[in-house]
Amino acid sequence: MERVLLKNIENPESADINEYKKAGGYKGLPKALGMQPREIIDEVKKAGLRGRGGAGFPVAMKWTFASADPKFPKYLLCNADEGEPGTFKDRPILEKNPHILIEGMAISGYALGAEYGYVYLRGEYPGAKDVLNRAIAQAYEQGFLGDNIGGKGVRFHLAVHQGAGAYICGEETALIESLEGDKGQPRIKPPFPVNVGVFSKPTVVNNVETLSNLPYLIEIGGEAYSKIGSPDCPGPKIYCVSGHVERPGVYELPMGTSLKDIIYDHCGGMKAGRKLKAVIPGGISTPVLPPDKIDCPMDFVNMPKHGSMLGSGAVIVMDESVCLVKVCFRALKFFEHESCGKCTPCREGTGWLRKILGRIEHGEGVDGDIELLLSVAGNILGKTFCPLGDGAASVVQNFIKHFRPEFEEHIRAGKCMVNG
Amino acid sequence: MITVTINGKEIKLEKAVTVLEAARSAGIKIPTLCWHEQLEKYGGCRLCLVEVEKMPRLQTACTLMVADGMIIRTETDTIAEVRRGVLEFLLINHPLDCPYCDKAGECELQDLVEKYGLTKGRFREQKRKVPEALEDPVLVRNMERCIVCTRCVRMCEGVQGASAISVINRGGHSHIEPFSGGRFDCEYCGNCVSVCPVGAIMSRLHRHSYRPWQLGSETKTVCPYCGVGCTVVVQVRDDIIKRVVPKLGTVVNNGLLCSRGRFGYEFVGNKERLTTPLIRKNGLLEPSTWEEAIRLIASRLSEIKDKHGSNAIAGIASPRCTNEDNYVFQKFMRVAVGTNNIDSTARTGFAGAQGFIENIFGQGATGNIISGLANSDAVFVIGGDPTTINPILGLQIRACSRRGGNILTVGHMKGLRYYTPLELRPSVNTEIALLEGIVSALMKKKGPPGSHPVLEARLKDLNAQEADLPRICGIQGKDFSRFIDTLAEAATPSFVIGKDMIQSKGGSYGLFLVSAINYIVNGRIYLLSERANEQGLLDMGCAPDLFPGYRPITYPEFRKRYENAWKTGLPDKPGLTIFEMMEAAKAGALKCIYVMGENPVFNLPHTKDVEAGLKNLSFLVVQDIFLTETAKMADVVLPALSWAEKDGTFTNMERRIQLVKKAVHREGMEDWKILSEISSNMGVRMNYSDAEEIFGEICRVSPLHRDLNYEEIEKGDAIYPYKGEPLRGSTDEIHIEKSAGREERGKLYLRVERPLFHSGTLSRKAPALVNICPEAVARISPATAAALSLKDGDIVRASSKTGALELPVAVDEAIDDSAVMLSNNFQGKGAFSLMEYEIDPVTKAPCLDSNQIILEKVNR
Amino acid sequence: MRAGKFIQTIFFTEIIKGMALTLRTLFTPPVTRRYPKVKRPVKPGFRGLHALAKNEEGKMKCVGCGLCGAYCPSQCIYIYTSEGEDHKKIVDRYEIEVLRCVYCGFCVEACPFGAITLSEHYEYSDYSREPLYMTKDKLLANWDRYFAGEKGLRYFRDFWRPKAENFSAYEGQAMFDKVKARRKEQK
Repeated sequence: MERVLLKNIENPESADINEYKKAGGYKGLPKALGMQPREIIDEVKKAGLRGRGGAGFPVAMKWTFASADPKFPKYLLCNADEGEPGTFKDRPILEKNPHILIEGMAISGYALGAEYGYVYLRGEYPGAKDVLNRAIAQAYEQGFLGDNIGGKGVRFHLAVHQGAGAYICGEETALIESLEGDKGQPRIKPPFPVNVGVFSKPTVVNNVETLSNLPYLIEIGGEAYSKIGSPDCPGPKIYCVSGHVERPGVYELPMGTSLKDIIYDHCGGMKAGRKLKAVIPGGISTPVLPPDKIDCPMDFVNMPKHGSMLGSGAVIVMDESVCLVKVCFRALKFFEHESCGKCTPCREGTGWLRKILGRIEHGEGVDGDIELLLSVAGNILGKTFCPLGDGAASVVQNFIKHFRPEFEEHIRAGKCMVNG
Repeated sequence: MITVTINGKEIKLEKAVTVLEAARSAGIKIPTLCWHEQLEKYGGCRLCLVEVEKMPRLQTACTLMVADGMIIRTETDTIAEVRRGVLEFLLINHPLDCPYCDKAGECELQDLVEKYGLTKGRFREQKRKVPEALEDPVLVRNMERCIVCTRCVRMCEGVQGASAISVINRGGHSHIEPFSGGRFDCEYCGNCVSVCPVGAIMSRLHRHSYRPWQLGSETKTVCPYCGVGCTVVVQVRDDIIKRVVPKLGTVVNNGLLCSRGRFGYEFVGNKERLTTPLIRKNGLLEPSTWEEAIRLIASRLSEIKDKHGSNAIAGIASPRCTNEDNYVFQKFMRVAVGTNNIDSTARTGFAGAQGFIENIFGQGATGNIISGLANSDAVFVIGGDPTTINPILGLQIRACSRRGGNILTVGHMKGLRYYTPLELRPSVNTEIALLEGIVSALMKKKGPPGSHPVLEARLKDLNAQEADLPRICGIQGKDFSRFIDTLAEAATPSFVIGKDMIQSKGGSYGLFLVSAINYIVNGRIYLLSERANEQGLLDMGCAPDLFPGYRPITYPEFRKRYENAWKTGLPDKPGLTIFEMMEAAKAGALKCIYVMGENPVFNLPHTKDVEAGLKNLSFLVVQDIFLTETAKMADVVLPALSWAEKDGTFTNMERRIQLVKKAVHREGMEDWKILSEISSNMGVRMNYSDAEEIFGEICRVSPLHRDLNYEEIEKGDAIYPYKGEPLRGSTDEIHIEKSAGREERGKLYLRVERPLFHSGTLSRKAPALVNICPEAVARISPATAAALSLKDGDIVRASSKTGALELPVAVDEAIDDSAVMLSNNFQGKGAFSLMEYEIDPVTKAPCLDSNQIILEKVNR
Repeated sequence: MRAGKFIQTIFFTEIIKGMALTLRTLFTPPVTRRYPKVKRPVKPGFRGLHALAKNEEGKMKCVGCGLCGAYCPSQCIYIYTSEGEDHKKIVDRYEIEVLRCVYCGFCVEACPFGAITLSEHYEYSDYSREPLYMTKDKLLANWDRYFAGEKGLRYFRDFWRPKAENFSAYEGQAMFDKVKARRKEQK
């Protein structure tokens, strides 16, 4: 398939507006400006575009809610806080193809009636900040942003806001809090951001990849777009594969490509021919899969049927040299560190889980620790304020579900059976 | 109408509320920790999770709004399991030091664990260890115990408006810390202490000396500090006040207190309290007996009365004493002594201003409900920072701002600086010109309302030019017009007037102008009151020209009435005001002053003059709880009982009469009792058995208090005129004295600072308040500091015509360039000692704003 | 029948029987004890005069939490604490009005630290109330006097330990069910 989102990225000057235009960019925006905002939303609806941030919420539905709210002004936020471990799908767009995002945001802003947009950029992407700022300046120069876009009197202003490196700010309400200058902690929902968002105004928060799909979607039309990939959630999808494969990296493939194909076909199979042990298909907070369950189409509809989630499409492949107790421990260390501290189960529970796992990992586990882990995880799951705690709990639950003997061995032998 | 079913119980609701509120209204308890009725919802503790049908996840009852037909279950096995889990999480890092923790017994976490929690912990690792933060003199933080419910932070930000503390760090490292580090730099309201569900933030007062269940008695009474009259609960163990706490649901303060109210109670048990009567023998005050002292006073008073006439004796009543004390005091002066020479420090502002405003708008014009301020759409503040003078009233102004109201201030109010005030800051002594400008502009914009011809006639010849304002007052034209526009558009504006306004030259004219603005925009007036019973004192007739209930003594029919009630003849000539007393004493016309619960040497301007006057007296009696500066000069000093040791009533600034109740026992006599003993010794019998009996007499003689009794007051809504009628209508005549003189630029003028943590005599005997704010400082603006090359902490010699003081300076951006702020709360360092005054001919208040002061650096 | 009765009456056989019992009893040891010369040993767990326990370092265990006073049904325990120089809680006064105590032992059960104890000492009658008003110093002295050495250790181990950890009783403690069990064995 022809690449859409990562088109032209081999070109070292791909971030330049002229190169982007040369490669066929800024075609969707003029077309969109020729349509009514309502028509654009209909087109997106026809295309069946789903949010690429992880939850797969239908984009058109979110937009309809926001545009139905009479409050003004409205805001469009681009969630570029790509913090999920294993995920690096937005980074090539931000650093190599920023104009597709800018174009997408301008289209989206026009469709929503939003005149202001922010890119909430991950704190750890300082390079992307410079690229984006330069690209935005170029877009202003050439009239793709500003008070009179395309000579049609459409207003859309865009600015980059860099976060301070908190994972929780990838959650949309925490992102909004952070953007407003407060501590990044999720807000009570409802009201949802589409009604009461940034500065208490209707706000749409979309992922970088979602917004970057728009120029192409508008260009070819919703009907044609919906034919790409899975019928339930069509479109191109960026998969970022890391771990023990021959060719780890970023792959733009049609939505619904099988996980097995991604590992063995696109990535050239396991590194040095070692045996596959486990795959985390969509970033660390999605449930881990054992080797016998990897024959599943990677999309928002089919992954849950196979016991996992698409998440951000960040495939982490682990071979037999990996100690899964250690992986679980490291994951919980991450969640403990990134817990915002607002709600009790996540603040206290992630730390507790990490401590128990640390004990097991360091050969100090005792009988009953696995039951304790499951019980504590069960006390977190479904009781937290936002999905961060759920993610942490499900990591523990799924690792134990699929790889319990390894945990038991750790406790029994007091050491790791993989690495001694 | 919304119908929801909670635990099988059908509940009908008028409007959408949260599930928690709905459950509470039906008497179903849902455990909570982060939720608090005064605070914004948060949803963090996860204890109130409930099952809602058709919802996949458990929902927090405190955030979920009810919807019609919702079916909710709050007490199922699943939920009990969840609560146990959440409590287990809270306990893994919460030390089990309940035996040491002062909160144990009233700790919400403890109660919940007792109800839902596990008996055995499964957490085997090391708990978090954080040392106790003891840097602050008044508040102690124990962050091991903190459960990060953020109630304190939300209280500090969202209700108190101080924004002094915050959650620092994140996740498991979250803890509460003041922005200023270890020591708090805040308003010390202590409301964070009230809302903390565990022992994480606590008061250091009487720390570790009681457990909640050992507090033998709880007495609901009224705060002794300012005129707001907050309801407080005094908790006592073995006749020592251990705590003063607010109570949720009370009308005036609803669970909030300020620093003085909460931490200023320790004067009651202070070791310096007077215990026995003192009589001056050979120039020294020596302990004596009650009999001797009372006999001596009675005989000396009778002697002076016989020799020099009744009017050679004067009395100073106290805005700190109860209505009953003050009533008996004026009755004693009028009946036993036979003079109208009765006054109080209310004369320094409140009395005159109230009289003046009531003269224009009728009686009761200044008695508006404090909580109404929060519902105003604009609040006009002039003459003093309400957040320091009457802090709880100040909170209502902040609440008003939070609800979208506009705060308009004339002059800089530090406590309101974050509440988007539209601030007009006229240069020194040009307020009058500015007010004239505001009146003219409003008249132009809104036109005369036409309901008060007398007032409008006065306004006719007023025609200030807006264009002149920038030149005269140094105010930007666009600020001014924004101010006027906001004021003119307000539908329910309020006016808050402070003492600085009244104590400035031409104060009565200024008051008239504010009244005129109020009249044009149809607002309500609040007169800030610094003392607990300033209003009640005036009601009781402790004024040279008024009988109880504001009956002018010059009217023969009123006098007749009181002569009948008291069965004696009464003097018909108005007596001396407090300032005239000092003059008369200096001149030798006055021979004796009887002072009850007041400290004129300290609380009146021009200390030297007052001292000279008092020295010139042949007999000075002081009845007080401490040996004050005045008491030290007295011939007889009588120890009185303090606010916590007697029964009675206070009347607050909204004219709500509230009961003051005895909380601790102390040997001694109430003020009224001492007076009635002396009176009996002088041959005028006053047989009162208790305060309630006196109040009964008050209600019989004062038309304002008709049919009132203690039981009615207890119900809480005794705002007078209770069943009586107001007496003063608006009059046909408004006396004004214009005398706003221009002052020289480039000179420094002394201004009285009214700090949040002190209130004069009582607060400096309360160690906690002294620790918070230990010494007098002269506050100057950065420009002044630069001009005199001073920096923070430098010692200066501040001298005026009447004296000089040496004290440190503090540079404060909020201070005007031509002003030096100095408080009048520290012994020997009072601003009043450097001040001269002129009396405003209309309000009879002293004008204090033209005292020049010179600062010189003292090199040490 | 009548004859038998007649003979009994004539020969005072009942008196002889009675005298025989008297004679026999004369040579058996007495069942009563000659208190105060002879003292009956008390059973472990006896609730006598109060004492305040000391820890290994010889310091008072009590932290002044006040739970004993809160539990006390006769309200005879008074505790006054204050903030010490190191900001820790110190117990200034710990007083028991022994004459009002009903020896229910609730204070012992309530104590989370095993600090208040009831000794085996029961002989403390006096001529005035004052000596029976136990102050902190007297109570601590009681520990040294009545619980010195092994006895204190045993009491602590078996009775005055916080019950939250272990509810089992001392082996030799008199208990109704144990008594019953023993009787069953004997039968």
